[in-house]
Amino acid sequence: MSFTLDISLSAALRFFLFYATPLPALLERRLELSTPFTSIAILRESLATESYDRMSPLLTHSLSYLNHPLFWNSIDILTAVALRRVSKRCARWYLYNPLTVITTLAQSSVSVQNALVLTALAMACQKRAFTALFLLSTASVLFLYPAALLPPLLMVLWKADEEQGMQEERVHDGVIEKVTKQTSQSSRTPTTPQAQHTKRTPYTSLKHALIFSLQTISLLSLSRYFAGDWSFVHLYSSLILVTDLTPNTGLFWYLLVEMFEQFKGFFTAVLQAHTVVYVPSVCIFLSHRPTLAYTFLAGTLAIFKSYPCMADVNVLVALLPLFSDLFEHARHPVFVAALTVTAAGLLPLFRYLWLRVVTGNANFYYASTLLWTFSNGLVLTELLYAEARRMFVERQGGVDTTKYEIRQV
Amino acid sequence: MQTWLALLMMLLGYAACTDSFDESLSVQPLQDGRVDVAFNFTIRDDSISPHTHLLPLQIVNLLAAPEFEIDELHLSLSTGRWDYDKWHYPAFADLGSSGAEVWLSPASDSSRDSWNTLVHRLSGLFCASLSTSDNTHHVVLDGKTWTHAQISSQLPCTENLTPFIALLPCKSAAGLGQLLNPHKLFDADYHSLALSVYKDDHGARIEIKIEAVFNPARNGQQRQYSTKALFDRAVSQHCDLADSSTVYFGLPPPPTEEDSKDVWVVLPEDHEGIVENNVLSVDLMSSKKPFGLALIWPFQETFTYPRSTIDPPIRVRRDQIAGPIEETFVMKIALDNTDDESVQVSYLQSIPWQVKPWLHTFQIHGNKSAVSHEHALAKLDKDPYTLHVNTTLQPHSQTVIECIYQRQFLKYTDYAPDIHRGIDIPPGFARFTQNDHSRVVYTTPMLVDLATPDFSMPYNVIIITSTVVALFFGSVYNILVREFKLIPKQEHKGKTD
Repeated sequence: MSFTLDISLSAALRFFLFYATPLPALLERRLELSTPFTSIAILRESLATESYDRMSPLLTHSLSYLNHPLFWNSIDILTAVALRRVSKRCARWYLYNPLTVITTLAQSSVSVQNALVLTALAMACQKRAFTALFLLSTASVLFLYPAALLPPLLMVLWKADEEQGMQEERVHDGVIEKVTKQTSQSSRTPTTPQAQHTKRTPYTSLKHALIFSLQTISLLSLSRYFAGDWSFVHLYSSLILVTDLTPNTGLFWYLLVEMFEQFKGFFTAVLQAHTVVYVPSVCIFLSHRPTLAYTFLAGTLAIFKSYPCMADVNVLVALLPLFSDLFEHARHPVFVAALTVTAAGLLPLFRYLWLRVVTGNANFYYASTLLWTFSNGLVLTELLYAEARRMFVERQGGVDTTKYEIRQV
Repeated sequence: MQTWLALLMMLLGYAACTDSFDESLSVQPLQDGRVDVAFNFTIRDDSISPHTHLLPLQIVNLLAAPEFEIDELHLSLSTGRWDYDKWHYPAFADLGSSGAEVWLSPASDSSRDSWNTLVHRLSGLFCASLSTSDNTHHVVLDGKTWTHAQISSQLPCTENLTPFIALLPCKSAAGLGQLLNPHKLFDADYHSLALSVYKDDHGARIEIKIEAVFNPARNGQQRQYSTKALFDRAVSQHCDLADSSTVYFGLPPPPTEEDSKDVWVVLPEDHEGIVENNVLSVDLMSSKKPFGLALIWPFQETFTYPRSTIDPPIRVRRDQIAGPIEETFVMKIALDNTDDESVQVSYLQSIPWQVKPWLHTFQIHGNKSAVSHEHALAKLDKDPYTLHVNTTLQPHSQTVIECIYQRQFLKYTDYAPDIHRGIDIPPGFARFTQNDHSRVVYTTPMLVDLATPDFSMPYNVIIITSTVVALFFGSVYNILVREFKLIPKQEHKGKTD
């Protein structure tokens, strides 16, 4: 089995990097890979001071037992195995993606978040609603922001119900193709919910939402049990109010460092609202292709949330192979990819110039975070544009679109 | 009749007033050719009332104020670095710091407000900015609760000496106060002005302590010195209000060989002092002549600084080392015992809130069995972090305390003025008792660079960040609402037309 080989190879690679190189120690405190809310240093500090205002008590307690290279590697492998049900290419890409590998080496809890969010999607695609919702509610309780991914996840569940036995939207893998042959074509055309059949009712989604809230409440109670009191909710308030101004790849920190005191509340509210404002509109727009909605929203969270880091983009990057059909419809894919890679290189460089050698000032690093946000934003808009264009071309039926220019008006 | 009564009352009052004033000066040669000079003025009074005789009214007002409830108060202002390696310990146990330091032990639990008021009062009295401390903390030492604050950037100068002189009964007109010449005192390598106030059931005692280390060899390449040369003044008359006034003139160890370079002579040869334990003491109250002493080395043409010096028994060093990532540094505290006996040491430091410790990296290397330490983490937003380590230093051993600290990133309004200079971490200090002397050894203050934003950028940042957000929102909105259209390509048009 080639996939087994992939798994063993990548696991061997990770263990090699963990044990034979100084990379874990070098990477564990890089703020590109973890934030003051996710780094392994914060975990150790939370354990030393027994405070949970930086990390959820659930995460602190479980990681205190699990913090071992074996655990960090196995969550990657398990995520890849789950992703394999969605797409074999995604799984393989996830195993060898250098960003995934270094995030794992940094032992950043962002990789736990990514694993939960990706596995939730994989489970939803397989119609395993309870597991999928449980994974997402865990991610939400631990990291707050993944809660915004509930609507697209409900849509994925809805869609999976609709396409009986369907486990993948774009089928590239021989194994799954047999099962989903007849349905794989139908997904190329946008379908309307009312055209569908069976037990599926609006109540299904309502029921799922209810399950999600019950799971969230029980996980919060469990956190309360571990923490001993409710003081751990400070974690959520500091994520929302952005009290720690340590530089990260996002937009909040420098804005709030420089912000006039009387406008601080307003700008924080606007930027936080902006992070989730895309949820309803994009869900409606991409209702025919919920995995893309899920990916797109995970991407917006990864760049606009209050404490993002480069590793957050992993969800978006991991799911990109699902949308290879959109490549031909994108406007400037090469430019956008090059820009993102450049920004990823500039982040550590300008950070070094500002904080270590002090030949650059804070504006250097600020500029690179802007470029990072902007280029990732371009990736997202390219995806959305390409999907919109693809839908349009499909709607044209037999018209030979090569004879025409397709323009937005 | 009434006038007689009033007079009688006054006389009785005067007789009941049991106050005293003692002054002393110690001049001690140090092993590297420098001279340690220490003034001590002690005023005692058995009652605290505004009708004070010797006790200065400024201090009486502080002691009588109900809001402060002072039990014990120490204030010191120092400049320079006390070089423990060469000079060993200061004459006054609690001096040796750098910058300003305030210790208060209140009679009852005092609030933060009354502390602030007291610090403002002291700032006004002694012309110092003591209220800028950001490491004020509480600590229990020797069974007393203390509020302690340090300001390393507050260095004393002439305007601080004047209020100290004003507390003396004879000011600088008579007695040892005459020698307090600011031009000379503030030219010293190290100088420290200190005030201690003790209050008890009966009355109060205040001590004014001034210590300075002069370097006579700096100008003339000669080690010799005289009180006249050190202070550029002489004691022309003694202070009549003083009960005692003594000069302790320390003498170097006797020379090993005759006519070697180490032979020294005290001048004038007809001094009225008594030599005891290598110290020549002169009682100024009974002295008939104006006071002046000199110590010269007749066979020494030029003085060469000694290449090696004898180490003090306990040394403390605090260093800053680059940390694992850009915004961190390692603070390494090394406690050395070079003595043959083990010593019980208590180390204390208070770190301002702009720098945060990573407690999981806290380590103590060395004699682990006899170590106890407590951290006091910030409870409020801008509270300092306090570390208190108690340990027994084995003979000829070293104990190292290490911890990684992170420089905080602050709002632009939270940065102190002139922040590019860095922030001051006040000295930490180790307390121990040796041969029945309690000693305090201070580390040097530490300067920590903070990462700073560009303070000129607020408008630009708001505008540019908002632009990036708007750009993304605009593009998404554009894609969501605009329809596509098929437009025939230009060359097709040309051919068909």
